[in-house]
Amino acid sequence: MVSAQTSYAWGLLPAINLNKGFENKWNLNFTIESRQFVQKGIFNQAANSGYTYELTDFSTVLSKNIGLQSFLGGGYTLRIRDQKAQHRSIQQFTVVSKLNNQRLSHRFSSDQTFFEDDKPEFRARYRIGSEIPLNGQSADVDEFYLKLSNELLNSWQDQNYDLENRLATVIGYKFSDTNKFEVGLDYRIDGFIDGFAEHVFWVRLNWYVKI
Amino acid sequence: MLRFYTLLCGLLILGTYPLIGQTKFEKESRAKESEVPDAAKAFVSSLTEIKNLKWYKEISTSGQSIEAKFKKNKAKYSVEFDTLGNLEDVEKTVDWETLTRMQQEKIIRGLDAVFSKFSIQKVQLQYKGSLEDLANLIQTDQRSLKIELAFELIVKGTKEEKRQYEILFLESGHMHSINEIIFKSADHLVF
Repeated sequence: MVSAQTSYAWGLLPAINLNKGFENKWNLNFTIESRQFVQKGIFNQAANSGYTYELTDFSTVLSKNIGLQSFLGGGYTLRIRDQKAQHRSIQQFTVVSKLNNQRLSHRFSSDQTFFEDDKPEFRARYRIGSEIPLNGQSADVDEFYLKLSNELLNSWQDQNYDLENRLATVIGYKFSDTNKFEVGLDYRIDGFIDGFAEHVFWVRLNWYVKI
Repeated sequence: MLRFYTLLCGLLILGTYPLIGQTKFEKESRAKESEVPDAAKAFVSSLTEIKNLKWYKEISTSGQSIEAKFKKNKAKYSVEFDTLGNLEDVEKTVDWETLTRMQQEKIIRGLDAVFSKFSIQKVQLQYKGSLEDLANLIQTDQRSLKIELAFELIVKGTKEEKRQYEILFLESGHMHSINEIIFKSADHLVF
């Protein structure tokens, strides 16, 4: 009989997010994000690893504003992990709306990841997010905001299906209309469907710059 | 591939130039009681049965103002003062259906003349008048004939393409002003 084990990990997830607007409502996004584990282990057991560098993602997404605040985009991610490259194609549609003081976003996306030595993985994702101003009725320059989001990720690889949930809470500061910095926690759980849940706690550091 | 991304990143940074577009400076934030002029505080404290009172200060291209937002009898009010505490106007958020048929027709005629397609997102009645008349209006929800009425609307409208506008109609049906609403960057909600 196999007894279910629950593993955990926590680490740092810094990201630089560059955006460039073009004519006719086109936008190019370029993101560099790296994952670094500070500790990994099994719950109720001693930690079994210290700091480990995990991976770096280089992503570009070209999107177009097709409505008042709706964005259709497609892109590509190069993931470098263990000296190997993974290639991911991305499609996404996001709608942003205002609900009283908050801005609410719904993001529907799909991606396909291709590995050098494994079967491809296909994912369908939905993320709901909210920006809540902490001073006044909208997040203005020199003000803080709270950003909450939850994302569900359905994943298919070979014959296997998995569901992951990502819940994030960050505090952001708007230096200018084109420069924001966020810090917060991103809690991810997957593998719970087959009883081998993995809990990952990321400390997020996001820098958004519009150039 | 790594070299390609480094090059792309460099090009993006080197190619920096300010985005050309309409820039309307506006900043609104919560105001402490101590920042609110005495005259404004006195006006609001003369009102009874108001709930959820919050003070805001707004800095825009047209100057600075102080705003009190509250609810009375479930209706949302916004009272705007200048920095000395002189009352500028009172706004009450209402449903479109509460406007009279004649008011609706005048506004629709005005919108039809500008847009090929539109939808009304929000309606506020804007009142201007003396302190006494406006206080009485908020208290009793009865408008004296001395009070000027206008309609401030948030409209999604299509001219060549769909945009969002803030439009002020006078009671006569004349479109007094129309300003496009510029959305704040949503990159952190999209990516």
